[in-house]
Amino acid sequence: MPNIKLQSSDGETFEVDVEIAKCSVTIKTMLEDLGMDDEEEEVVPLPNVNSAILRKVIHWATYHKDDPPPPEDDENKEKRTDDISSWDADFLKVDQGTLFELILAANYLDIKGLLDVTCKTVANMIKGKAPEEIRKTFNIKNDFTASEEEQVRKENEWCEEK
Amino acid sequence: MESTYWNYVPYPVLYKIFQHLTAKELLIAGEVCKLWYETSRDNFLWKDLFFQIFLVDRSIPVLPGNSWYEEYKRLCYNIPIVQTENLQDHGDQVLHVSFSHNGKYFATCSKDGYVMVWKSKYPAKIKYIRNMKYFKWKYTQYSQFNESDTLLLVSGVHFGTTNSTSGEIAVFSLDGFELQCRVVNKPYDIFGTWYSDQYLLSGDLHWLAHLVSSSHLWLNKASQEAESELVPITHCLFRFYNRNASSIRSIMIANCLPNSENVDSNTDGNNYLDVQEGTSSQRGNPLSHNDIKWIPCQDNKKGLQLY
Repeated sequence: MPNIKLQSSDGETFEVDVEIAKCSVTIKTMLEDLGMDDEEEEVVPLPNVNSAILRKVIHWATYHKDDPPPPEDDENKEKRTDDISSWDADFLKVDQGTLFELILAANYLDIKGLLDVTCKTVANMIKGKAPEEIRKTFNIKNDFTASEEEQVRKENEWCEEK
Repeated sequence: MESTYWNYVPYPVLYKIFQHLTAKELLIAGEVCKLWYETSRDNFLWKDLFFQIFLVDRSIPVLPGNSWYEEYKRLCYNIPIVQTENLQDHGDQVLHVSFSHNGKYFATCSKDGYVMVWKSKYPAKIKYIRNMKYFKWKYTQYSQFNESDTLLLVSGVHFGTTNSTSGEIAVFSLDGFELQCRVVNKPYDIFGTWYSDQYLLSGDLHWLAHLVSSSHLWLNKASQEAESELVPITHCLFRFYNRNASSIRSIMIANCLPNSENVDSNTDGNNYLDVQEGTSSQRGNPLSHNDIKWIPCQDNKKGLQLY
């Protein structure tokens, strides 16, 4: 199996099976566009991903390498969030910062499966919480003025008791 | 890592996260901060939510000038869809619900063979209940209040072989739920209907030969107390010759015509709705027909539709 080298933002190099690396559409396109030969000892720089996160992403991609390609989004289907596999759930038992960076990495590397499961995890953390609890959970700064906040709450009144 | 990174999450990522939220959760998320607020009003998020909840054909566009958010809100908020009660008194599937004209009652028919009349106040209470299995009915399928809400027509299906089409109509008074009359109704899916306040229509079917039959429409007096043996309480209105195993399957009275007194008797059928202004005209059904003094083909006060 040919390998390629991925270099994280902090300079660490990871040697990965090409097929595993190609679960990232970004890397796949890059390899195709650049016509990189499998034999060539090229290093793919990933300036947006640090080594800790890249290690996790590779870990995830290696575990999921034999998954069938993710289904196309069906716009009519209700988006479920209770179908996260136990392995993924364990994998995502990380602190807020790591989860956030994993989402950014999945988004940047264009790994649909990882992006889906991380987004679902975040959605589950939002569900059932009041705005103040959400801010606390995600450490979000409330940048509304008091009157703006009141106005938004008024706007949303119609949905209460539904 | 800065502590406020979630304030700066890229829009497409936040969008993807919000795709997994319900409308209510999405609105709450919008109260968190400005970026989340903007994302929570995203037109495509609401479009998806809209089609998940309201199973409208996707080719139907939103009202011009409206966003999907506004459309979702309009259908949720402006249209009263509140479940007030869960009535569990029927033992099987409910097949039909009809309301009295004054809105005080409603009647339910069910596969359990019962007909129930409810007071439609909150909470709804059963006023009358009758097990029609007692009359060899398999189930009750349809009911209709008469014009003055004094009588209830109940239509049902008889027990019989699987291909039996035999049914029956029963009329109950709404003052005590006394049985007023029973009329055979064939095939049962004609249902039957009120013709006027005191008279109802039913159907009957006679097989003449293989695939050939005749359908009869009967006009029946709701209370079968005969005033005199010379006055009939039933009256055959129409006979239809049916070929190729066809038969009448539904009758309906068009009751949108004005009070007969206000219709110029010289006008023909084209001017049904030509009501003179200034008279004490009442739209809708005449309140009551006291007698049957007409011959159907000459009667243009009421529209009688046959299917």
